Amino acid sequence: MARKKTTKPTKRKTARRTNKKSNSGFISKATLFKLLFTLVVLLGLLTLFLDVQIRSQFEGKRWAVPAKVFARPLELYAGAPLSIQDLKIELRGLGYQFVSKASRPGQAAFSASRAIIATRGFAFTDGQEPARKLVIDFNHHAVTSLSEANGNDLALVRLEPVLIGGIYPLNNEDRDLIQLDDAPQTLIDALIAIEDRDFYQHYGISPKGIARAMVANIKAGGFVQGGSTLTQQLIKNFYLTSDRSLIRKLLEIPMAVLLELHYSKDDILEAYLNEVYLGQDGARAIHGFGLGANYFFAQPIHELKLHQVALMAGMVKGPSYYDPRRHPQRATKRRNLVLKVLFEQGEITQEQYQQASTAPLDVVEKGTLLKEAYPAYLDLVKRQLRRHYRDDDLNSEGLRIFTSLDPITQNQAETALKSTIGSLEKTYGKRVEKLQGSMVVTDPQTGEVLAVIGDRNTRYKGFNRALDSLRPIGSLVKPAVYLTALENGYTLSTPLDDSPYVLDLPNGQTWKPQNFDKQSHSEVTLLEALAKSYNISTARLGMEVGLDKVIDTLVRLGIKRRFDAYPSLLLGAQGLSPLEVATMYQTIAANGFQMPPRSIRTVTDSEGNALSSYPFQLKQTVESDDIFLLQTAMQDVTRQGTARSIYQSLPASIKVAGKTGTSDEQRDSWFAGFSGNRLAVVWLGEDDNSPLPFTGSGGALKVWKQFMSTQSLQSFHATTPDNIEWVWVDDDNGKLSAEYCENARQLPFVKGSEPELTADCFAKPGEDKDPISRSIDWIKDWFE
Amino acid sequence: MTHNISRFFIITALMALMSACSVAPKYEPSQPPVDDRTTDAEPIPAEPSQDKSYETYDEPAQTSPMPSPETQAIPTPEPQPQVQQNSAVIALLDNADQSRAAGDFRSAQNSLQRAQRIAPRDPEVYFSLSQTHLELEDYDLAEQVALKGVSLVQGNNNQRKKFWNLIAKIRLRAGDANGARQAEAKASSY
Repeated sequence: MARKKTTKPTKRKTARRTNKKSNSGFISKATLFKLLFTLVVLLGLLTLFLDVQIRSQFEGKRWAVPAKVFARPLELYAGAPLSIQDLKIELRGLGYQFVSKASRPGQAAFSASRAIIATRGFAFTDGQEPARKLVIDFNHHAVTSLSEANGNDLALVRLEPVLIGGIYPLNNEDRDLIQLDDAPQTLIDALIAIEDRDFYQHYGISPKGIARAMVANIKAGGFVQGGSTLTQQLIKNFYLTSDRSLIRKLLEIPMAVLLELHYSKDDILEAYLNEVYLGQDGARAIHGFGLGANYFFAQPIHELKLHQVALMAGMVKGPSYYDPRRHPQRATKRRNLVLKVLFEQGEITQEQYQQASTAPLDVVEKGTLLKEAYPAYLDLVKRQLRRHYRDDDLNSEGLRIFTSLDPITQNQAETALKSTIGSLEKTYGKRVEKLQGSMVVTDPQTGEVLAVIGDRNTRYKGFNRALDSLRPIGSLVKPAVYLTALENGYTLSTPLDDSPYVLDLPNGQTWKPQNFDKQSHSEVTLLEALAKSYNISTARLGMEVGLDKVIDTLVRLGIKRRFDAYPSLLLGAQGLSPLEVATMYQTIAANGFQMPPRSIRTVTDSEGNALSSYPFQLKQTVESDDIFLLQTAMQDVTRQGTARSIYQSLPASIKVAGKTGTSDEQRDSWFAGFSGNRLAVVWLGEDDNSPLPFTGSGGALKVWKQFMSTQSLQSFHATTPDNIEWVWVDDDNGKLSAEYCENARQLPFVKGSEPELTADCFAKPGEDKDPISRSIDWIKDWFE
Repeated sequence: MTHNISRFFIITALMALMSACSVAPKYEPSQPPVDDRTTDAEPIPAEPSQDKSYETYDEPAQTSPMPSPETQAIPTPEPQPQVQQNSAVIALLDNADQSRAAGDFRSAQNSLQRAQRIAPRDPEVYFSLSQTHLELEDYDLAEQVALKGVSLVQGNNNQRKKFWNLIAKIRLRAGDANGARQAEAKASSY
């Protein structure tokens, strides 16, 4: 804001010089006339200049209005996977008052399985969602019916979206613009009563007010009341700098008069309501009563009651002195003074006065609303926005940014991460003192990012590990190795060699991968090798299919990064961010369709007109047959492999797939996995790369399990592609078997790739080959 | 004064932004010029892989008691639950049909993306979304959405046929006669 007017001091100098001349004794009439004329012209010019200043700023865009960032709106419909507790989380974030009978917008009443909420309504880009009273019935994990209070069934209702943050200009002024109609009449009455009793009578300055203030100040023996009108206060805050120089004071008066000449009292009052400074939240300056209502009471301004508006009107005099959070007693006293004046002036009844002045302050704790609660997610949003918008547009045009953040999911992810870290600290004590964590949650079907955590202190606006911390992914890379193999003629039952392996590297060193338990196995099936995360067989397999092909697979899975073709890549030496891992696993979860993770749905201007949208994008990069086989193998990881402890927390009916990951010397603990409707990647580790006393399943998997068990999960289902058939095989050796055989299970195979070698109990009709020709067939099959 | 200048720049920038948004008039003139953004990112150079003798370990499993094999549902070719359309999705699909009929493809797209979030496994949602992208002449996306949709069809050959016919149409419009023939062949196989 350019509030300094550098031209004026020169003018003042000129004026003073002419005055000096007039004091020198002899003045001719002509000189006097000239002097007077010059003075009048100068004053006229000054007035004109001030007038232009006032009008241009008052009529133009008055404030830099920060972009507002919203969470996804909660969709309510019969069948929605939402518990009554989930709804409470959402409504708390929206600042709803929980009452016994919901009557006004912004109120909600709950019984054990029913919620009655009076919504506020919201103007969405694609239509208005009216304010209405809803009756919602729940069973323990879903909405069973949705109707209006008058009994009409409703198919679908969107709640208003939670405001999760803003993008502020350099001066860090934050405000929610309101119109005069939005402000409760009591607020205006209180302001006028306490700050400027003659507001509707004066022309910008009030001699009566000044006189009254002087009397009051003399009586009190100190400064208790200022004589500035609301108009003067507005001029001071809006046009002039805050330093108390005489010139500023002198300019204030003519400018106040000019403002009054041009604009109505209502216009001036509305500007005042939006300009006024009410407090400080860290670097963010709280301006205007619209934002004030939100910041102090977690409510929209029109929902405030008398005792709340009286408090805000009283705070104008000294926002930090009367800060109700830091100085509740002072604030109460000030509020009650405002109420007393209102009562004395007949604006409120005795009963209202009594009630309001005995009411508690009702100021909410900082952070009750979710604005600025999710810095890691907001960071992701800002990065995506900055590719298309300039900072100036973001922090001043009042843009609205609608994201896919799900406050319920984010809340539950935070709880899972924090409480797991807490219990790991209990178990391991000082060894995990500096333990950090991050997490990314997406909807695997749509690619929308639902939650992001970048620090164990989830509100900390610092290093965002979910996006910026590149840590070796360990065995999380293995699905890419096995997918490459499946694409190149291997099947789930192909036997792999897990015997000790030594690879001579070009630099003269040797590479000797080992399994976690330091045991090697002679022969394992491909399925088992992945499920149990064997390193030796993976390394052999990866070298056999070729590093270049594995890298190509990683790229097709969505990792936009250049990889170096080192053998150690096969065991996850490459560092990736949790968001990149989520991108990779999402392609697997979405049947081979790559979907860039999306955090923004729409950007609109301040009026709600869409400027840009970020539609659902996808591209198939892996054949559905191959991805189906991989998905099957990854379900074995969670059923019988390294992540089988999942089913201590999840019901057996819910199918999930995933992979544990532990990096070299246990410096990183990873888990990435998905159900039908949730994909979550969890990383735990220390910033200085200290080894951890636990692995992927001992740390990250615990967070994942706890998080997933709070979600209304849908089982993971993949439709069997046309070209896949299920065949009975022996679970131990992958040989062809039959339903009646011991140890038999069904596995999917691309048609024509079924194992030819048969298990002992099974004989193909009409075939009774000798062992030697069987072995030859087996080898042939392997190399086909 | 600087205020005015900066305001001038902001307005100019905003106007430039808006005009940039309306470069490709794919939509009806009555449509607001809304920009489609993709979330493309530049490839990131590799972190130097410091340790070439890198190893990684995954323990076989936690020592905690494991569910008995009886209770474990190992992946099997079990029939999948049929997607049941709920009234919310039906309402949104209706909205989309109406919007599309009125030429308001942006609105149709909005309704369908809402429907997709509610019922991401419902092939009909993808069918309608693919048709919308076809109308918007975004052939690549139309085809991908249709492929995704057909991958979700369960045991309903009529629906598969419908999808492959749509894919044939998309490819034909995109000038891929060969691909269209292949899709047609696929359609007639059901």
